[in-house]
Amino acid sequence: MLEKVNLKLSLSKAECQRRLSHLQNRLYDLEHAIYQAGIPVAIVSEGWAAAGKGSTIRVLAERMDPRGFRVVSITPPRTAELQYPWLWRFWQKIPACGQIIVYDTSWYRRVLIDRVAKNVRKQEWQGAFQDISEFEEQLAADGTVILKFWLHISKREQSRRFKKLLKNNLTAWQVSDEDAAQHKAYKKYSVAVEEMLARTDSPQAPWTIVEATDRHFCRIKVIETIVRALERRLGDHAPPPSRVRVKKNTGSSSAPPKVEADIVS
Amino acid sequence: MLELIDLEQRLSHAHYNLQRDRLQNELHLWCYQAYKQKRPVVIVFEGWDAAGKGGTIKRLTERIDPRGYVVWPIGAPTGDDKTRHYLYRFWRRLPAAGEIAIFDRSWYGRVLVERVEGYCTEASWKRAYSEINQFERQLLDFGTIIIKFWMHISREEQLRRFKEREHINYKSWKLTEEDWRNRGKWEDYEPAVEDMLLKTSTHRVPWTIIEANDKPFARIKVMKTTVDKFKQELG
Repeated sequence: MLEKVNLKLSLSKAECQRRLSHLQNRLYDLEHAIYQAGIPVAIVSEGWAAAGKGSTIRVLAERMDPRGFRVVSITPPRTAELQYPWLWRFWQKIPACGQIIVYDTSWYRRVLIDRVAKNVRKQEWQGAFQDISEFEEQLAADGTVILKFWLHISKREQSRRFKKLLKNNLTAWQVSDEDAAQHKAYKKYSVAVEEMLARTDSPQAPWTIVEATDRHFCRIKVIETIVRALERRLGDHAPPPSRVRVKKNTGSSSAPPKVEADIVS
Repeated sequence: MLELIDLEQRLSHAHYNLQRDRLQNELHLWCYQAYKQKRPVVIVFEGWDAAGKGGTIKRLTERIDPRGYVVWPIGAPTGDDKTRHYLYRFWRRLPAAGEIAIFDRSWYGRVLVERVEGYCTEASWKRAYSEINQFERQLLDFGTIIIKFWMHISREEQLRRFKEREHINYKSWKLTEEDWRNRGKWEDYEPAVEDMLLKTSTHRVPWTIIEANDKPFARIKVMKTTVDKFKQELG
């Protein structure tokens, strides 16, 4: 499946900025509507190391009301967390009604890194597929909007990015040992990713594969997918498309924004 | 099904005292084993109002090391629990490995009070049976020991106990308006209880029905069932 992903997709910077501005404003309005409607929203950000998970979340959150959402970074389980069934720590972090939670990596660690790095036994990560399906099904049945993103880049692109990050002292910290190990085992990871996508994609918790070679394209696709999904869920409760907010004094370079037909639809 | 329960079973006080002492000592030792073997333990109490859940929990825990267990009384959800999925409040109250959590009412409220009172939609409580089975399976996979009790009394016995609570000063706090209201809905609760017992009694986590018209009998049966389960899991 992954080899069919068109990693050449891209978007010009100007086009990206123009659409981003609309999308971010729209998301701001939707966030408020979600709060008022009391709908919990869980957004899962998964992807290769250096694929742009962090920066995409940053852009996603940029114009949102910080009171309505939370970014939850998932690390390896700590000692206390190992004293409970493995999903326990994720249940602690489910969204409340009207709250949006963005997971920077998630319960899918179990079937990705934990599987490949052999942090858990085979029986455990195999059982995790069922646990995850049940978990997401339970949340979705309760009204939670679940969106899952896999940010995809090629092994070569990953290597290019690592090199660039490592060259600069200010960014070198971003490449961890875990990341290096992942790069080495790119093939093994791909197998795990494919199985994950195949076995945990469902109508109530769909995966969106994001072609992430070009960061502009990646960001627009992620945010647009979220905006669409929230609009769909809100239905008649979705806020009316707001008038175009033209930023004044933006200088000369950017063209005046047009109302995006595909956003307003 | 409920009408088949033999509520006439009784135990004399002499027998009760004897067995209680023995069982409490055994419980003390088995709970230490659970701690040693790092097994979490979940004990669920459901039953009619005034069936004796509280008094039974008191006797069950009397001689256990208080550092090792916690009792969660479950009422209407508040705060964070209220704004999230109904299973959230139980996930966050789960025992860690080696700990014991006793639930005085539980996630089964979804298919009992919430169903009868219409606090959730019909689709929600109908879905809950499988959600609960999934939940308990996930706990089992982790090695959790789960024991579930339905404390059963007759409607007449409930009335007798309510009246007793009304008249005995130190018991009067146990009786509220809500108990009387629930009592009026006995017929609505019956099918809910039967469905619950039928749909969530699984091979690995069966319900144990406690004939509770006689308190000594009920308490001994609870303690004995618990000890037997511990023996089987930890022995």
